Amino acid sequence: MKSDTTALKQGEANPLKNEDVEFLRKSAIDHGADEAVIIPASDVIVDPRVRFKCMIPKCYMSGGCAHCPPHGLSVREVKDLVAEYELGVFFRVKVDSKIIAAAGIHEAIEQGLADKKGNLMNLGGNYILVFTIIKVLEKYARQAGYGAYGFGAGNCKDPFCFLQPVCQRLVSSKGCRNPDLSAFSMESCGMDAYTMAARVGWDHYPIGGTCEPDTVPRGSLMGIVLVNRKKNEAV
Amino acid sequence: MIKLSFKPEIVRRIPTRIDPQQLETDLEYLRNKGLSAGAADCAVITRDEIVFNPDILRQVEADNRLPSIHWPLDYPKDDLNETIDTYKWAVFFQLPPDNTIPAYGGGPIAELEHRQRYIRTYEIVTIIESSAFYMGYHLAIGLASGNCRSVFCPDEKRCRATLKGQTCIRPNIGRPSMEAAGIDARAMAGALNWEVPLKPVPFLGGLVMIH
Repeated sequence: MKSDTTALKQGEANPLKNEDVEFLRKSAIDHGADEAVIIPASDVIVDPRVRFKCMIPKCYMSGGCAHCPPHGLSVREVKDLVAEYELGVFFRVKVDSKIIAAAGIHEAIEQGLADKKGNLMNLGGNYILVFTIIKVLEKYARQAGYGAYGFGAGNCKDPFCFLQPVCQRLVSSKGCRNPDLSAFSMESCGMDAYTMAARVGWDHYPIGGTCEPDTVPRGSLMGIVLVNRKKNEAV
Repeated sequence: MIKLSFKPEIVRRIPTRIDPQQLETDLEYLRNKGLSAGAADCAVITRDEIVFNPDILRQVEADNRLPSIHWPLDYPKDDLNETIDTYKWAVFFQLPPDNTIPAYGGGPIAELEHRQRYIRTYEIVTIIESSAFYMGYHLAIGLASGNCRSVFCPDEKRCRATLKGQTCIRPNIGRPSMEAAGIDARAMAGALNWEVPLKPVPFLGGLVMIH
């Protein structure tokens, strides 16, 4: 991927400039997001109920990925983290309901079995796209001297470690197999992406394991990259 | 394999804010869902009507016959009771009392028929919770009764979700109970003038926090 960061001025601790922020927003679109908006970091909704939605009832990946509840960051840690940032590039990737709500897709996801129509791989590709966009935006922002911290959608074990029996970071001192790609998701950190999407005017519909293609017009996978004028410090 | 089936009847776009009048209508719809799914009693209650009793939590912690991720609750980074405080409305139900059921607590459920009654509480919780989710209350979470390992994994040597890096073998089904959260369902039912099973007969029901 060829990065074009010429629009961002090199340096450290730059004040946030409108043109830089707009460059990041456009970059999200250029790299595959269907929509992207700039929101103040104070508009990021962090709600403890969201993390519990991963655990009650148990999501198939809960406990199986270092970035998913009950692991990961606590709601308190996330609130403190978000408070250090000034704004977020909030984006979504639309996914056709024939894919995200395809017959048998939920069972295929849970059992880790590729379906004959390729819906599972197609959906996985959309998740990878979300993670890729946040990594690209983090890179652009950091190259310009800004701090950046990105959150994707869903667990990162399926898109990046699908064939691995366990998340290595959880069971070994070797750490994550894909540290340059993996990330927390918004929901694993208690971010209420659904309500945030509604508040920026996006039509977002709930999709669960019992959805069917005709039930919802489309699915949305959302991500956010928080940006500030400070150099980023890893959590 | 046990599978709790559910098909949504109402699917709504996620709203920016919940409309109070719509909420009132929806809560009544969800209450009726509980009744039509087999609950003997079902009520819409507020957070203030949820009763916590630390003695119940102590009983759960002391009952270590079949420990699971949900018995006692093992989510060190998250506080379920604090989270329950963030809801205002819930749907609470009980199955018809059956005085033949002994106090299984979190241990093995000997009779298949009794186990099926426990499973029924999980099914009703799923129906109410999932209905609410698709109606736009995407943060709805429900608690059932008993220990999910006793109900769904009685033949497993251990709860796999308690092992590092492993996951629940009954995703979308396994969930905590009211008693594992320290909720005194019997006291709540009594306050609603329901016919409450006499101790030691277990209270079989559920609580779904909606909004």
